[in-house]
Amino acid sequence: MEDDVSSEQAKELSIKAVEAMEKDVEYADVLYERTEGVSVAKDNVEERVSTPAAVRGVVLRAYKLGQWREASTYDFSGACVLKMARRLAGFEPLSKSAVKLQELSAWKLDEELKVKISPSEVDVEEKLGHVRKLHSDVVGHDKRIVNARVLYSDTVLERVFANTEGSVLRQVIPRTSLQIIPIARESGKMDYDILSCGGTAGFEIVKDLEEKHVKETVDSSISLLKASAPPSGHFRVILDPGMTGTFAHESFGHGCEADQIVRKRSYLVPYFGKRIGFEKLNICDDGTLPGGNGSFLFDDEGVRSKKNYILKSGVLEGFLHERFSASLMNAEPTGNGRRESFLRKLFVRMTNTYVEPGDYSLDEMVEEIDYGVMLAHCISGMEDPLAGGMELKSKKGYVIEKGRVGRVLSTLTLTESVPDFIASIDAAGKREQFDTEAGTCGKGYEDFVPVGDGGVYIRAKAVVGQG
Amino acid sequence: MSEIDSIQKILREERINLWDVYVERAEEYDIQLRNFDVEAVRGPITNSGYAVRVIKQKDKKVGIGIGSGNSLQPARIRRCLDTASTGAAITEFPSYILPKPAKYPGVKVADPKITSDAETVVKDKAEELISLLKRSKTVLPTFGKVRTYNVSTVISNSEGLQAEKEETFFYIELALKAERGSQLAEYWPMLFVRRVDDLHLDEQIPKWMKLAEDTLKARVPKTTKTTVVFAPQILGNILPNTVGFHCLGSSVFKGISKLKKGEQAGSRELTVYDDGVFDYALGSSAFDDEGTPQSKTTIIEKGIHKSFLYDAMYAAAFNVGSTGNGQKLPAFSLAFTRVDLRYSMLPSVQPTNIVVEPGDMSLDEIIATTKEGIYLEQLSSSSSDSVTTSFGSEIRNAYLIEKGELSTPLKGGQINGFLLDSQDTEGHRTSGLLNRISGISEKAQVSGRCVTPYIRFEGVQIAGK
Repeated sequence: MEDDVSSEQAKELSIKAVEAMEKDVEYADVLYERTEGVSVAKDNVEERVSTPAAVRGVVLRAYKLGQWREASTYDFSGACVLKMARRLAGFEPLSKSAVKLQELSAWKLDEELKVKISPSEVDVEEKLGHVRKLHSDVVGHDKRIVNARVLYSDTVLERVFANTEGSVLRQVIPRTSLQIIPIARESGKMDYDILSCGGTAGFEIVKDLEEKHVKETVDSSISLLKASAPPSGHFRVILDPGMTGTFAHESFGHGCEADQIVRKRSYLVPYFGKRIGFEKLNICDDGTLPGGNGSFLFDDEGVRSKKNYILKSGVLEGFLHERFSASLMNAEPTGNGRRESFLRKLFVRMTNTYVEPGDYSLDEMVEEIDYGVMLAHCISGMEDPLAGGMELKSKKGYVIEKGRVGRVLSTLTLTESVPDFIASIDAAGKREQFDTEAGTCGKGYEDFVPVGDGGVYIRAKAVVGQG
Repeated sequence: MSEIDSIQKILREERINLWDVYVERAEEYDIQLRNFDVEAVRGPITNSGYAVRVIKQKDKKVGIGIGSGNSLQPARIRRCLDTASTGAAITEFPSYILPKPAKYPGVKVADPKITSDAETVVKDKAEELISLLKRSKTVLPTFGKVRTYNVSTVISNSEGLQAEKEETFFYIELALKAERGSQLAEYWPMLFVRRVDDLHLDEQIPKWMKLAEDTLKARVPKTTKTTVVFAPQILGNILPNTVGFHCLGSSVFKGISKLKKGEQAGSRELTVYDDGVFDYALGSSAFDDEGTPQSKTTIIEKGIHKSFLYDAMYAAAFNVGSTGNGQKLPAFSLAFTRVDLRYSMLPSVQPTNIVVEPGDMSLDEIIATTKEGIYLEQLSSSSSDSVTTSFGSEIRNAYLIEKGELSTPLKGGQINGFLLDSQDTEGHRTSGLLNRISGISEKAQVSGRCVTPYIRFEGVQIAGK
């Protein structure tokens, strides 16, 4: 990445800002960020090429008597940042507590996460060319495809971090994504499916995309024109790996974020250390997953990313922490302190959350169901960390009758109490089914960060209806 | 703003003839609570960014490129212009005509309290919030956020247009917990408004606390089809993404709109506007994000679809006037609080404020005249599918209606339906919810980019146990 502020200059100014604060506060850190990227979108009418991610800025954070004070600016000049640091250091907390932040050892890192084909080495015309080709392939497959939207996006995020403990870190994380949405129409009915791929990856996700996957999405969109409305009621269900991942993240993972525990806002507290699922059920959050959309080298308060089990052998194993929650709960930070950007507050956030493989084949899961529903191609999920409710939506589904997969169903919603849902899981699929998807997660209504989620097919019981 | 001058100077040096520039400067103050404690005080949080669009006329098409950034270094501005020029050279659109200078309507979008001293407003509101929350012994906050936004915007283009505005926003989000033994229940409200006085916290907090307490007694509904009264906040999430999508000029041009002019789109009681000049509504402004005056357009009148919405691009494609609907909105409909990054978003035709005309019944009358049904206060996500207008969501806070009165609280299970008419696999037309309206309240509320009353629908699918 080339810029008018070099990485070394960013480090130097971050260290100076930390030094300007350290005498007056218990702890302080500085996070400088710069993103670059290109977005290319095409449908039947419009072609859009833009650089929505060309942003840089810095956030300064100070801690005193149990309270954080922070300020952010886009102006990364020495005069502005140091003035801000001096002003921040003198803050008087609005309320006071005796919570001391745990001290962590200083460490250094300067690393760029490597990808196969760096997006910066592919010019924008070539990116548009690939997008046009994909669009043309999709609309050319079948005359019932009345429109198709192809969205390509790449970003390179550089973050430089320094704190009063002496850590000085820099990481460069590239992320690339591709989405294809063929809209099918016949006799007045319209529907679509979505092909979505991405992660901490480069342009190879476009170049390596196989024609058969594009065709499958087109065929799936067309099949949804004949899809039946889903049945309404409480059924045995099978979730595909994408749905499983959204369950692991939205329904279960959010309740494991330790800031919710500190706020007394998690239904999971009484279950800590107890068995809540069957013995082959393992759920983890893993910021080191190769290619995972939520992967990085260190979190936004300088803690190295790692793999953390939240459910192991069916037992609620642990919670996910940032530094404050870890200090308060006498736990280790788990590398889950993340910000959407320098403009947003840091919270406990997940990284790549997934259900580990079990020993069931999909055929075995289906054969044991007399009547049920399979949900596939997740489109959204919503958390309910206090009350443990869950909502997952899939673009597509299938009826399962007498041990066989039957007719296609259109958009479905799955709801259930999370403890009841987990207790009802009785099968997890084999390793060869394992898959993860790239997504974006909000903390409630805002603060969106890139995440990955996935796993294997799982079987459970839940309420199902139209999505 | 000095940014405009710097960018225009480089545009002249680069001999770029057709362009527009959007510059935005935002300042925020924010206090976040953990239970009754102040967890973090944030501010000033400042950002200033710009977007430059370069337009290139081609034989029968037009190319449009956009570059954005938030660094005013000349090298960065030039790189941004390079991106925009490259985009204009390689992309193709059917047509585009830059808006010309125009007379703008007077619309109120700024709160003088926030523009004059936002830091104090945030501090005062946080204190008021804590004080109101401490009045209850049984319902406790788990977290809270209060935040002000002060945003200045300038748009100029090569046609000589120059438009400026200053606007404000206030965000509040909190989660209220009720607890009895091992039972937990929550009400999790969020409001995003223009003025701090629009909050009415002294009225809202007791109502929100009651919802949390009542949900402790909630049960999962049974699977049934029944009458359902929707609160404005639910409609505020569903309507812009469904009706709002199908009334766009872009949806018509692409052949994916379900609406046809002069045809029935809803019940006779239903009149819907896109009103971009509604004082203090979130989508209001004197001009849209391309510089065209915003206006009020009738989308549905007495159930009949009347008009579509246009930005400069689709106005040119249909050879009609723009309705002032060129909007920079985030890709995620939930990311509405990102007004500080609006400059980096692409303008496209989008609704401003979806306004549903109020009816003639009070909410009490609507409930009293419902023999059997459900009153719906909050759903889990309220998300809907813009293309099919299908929606389905978990019920978070609701009540059964029995013999004209609110009775048992409900939580869990789900509500499902289509907003507009749909077809089944045999080609039979199924009536959408908008065609099954049986009551509209006389008072409307601002909810997101929507101003809507309570609406009662018949025959709504509920999935439960």
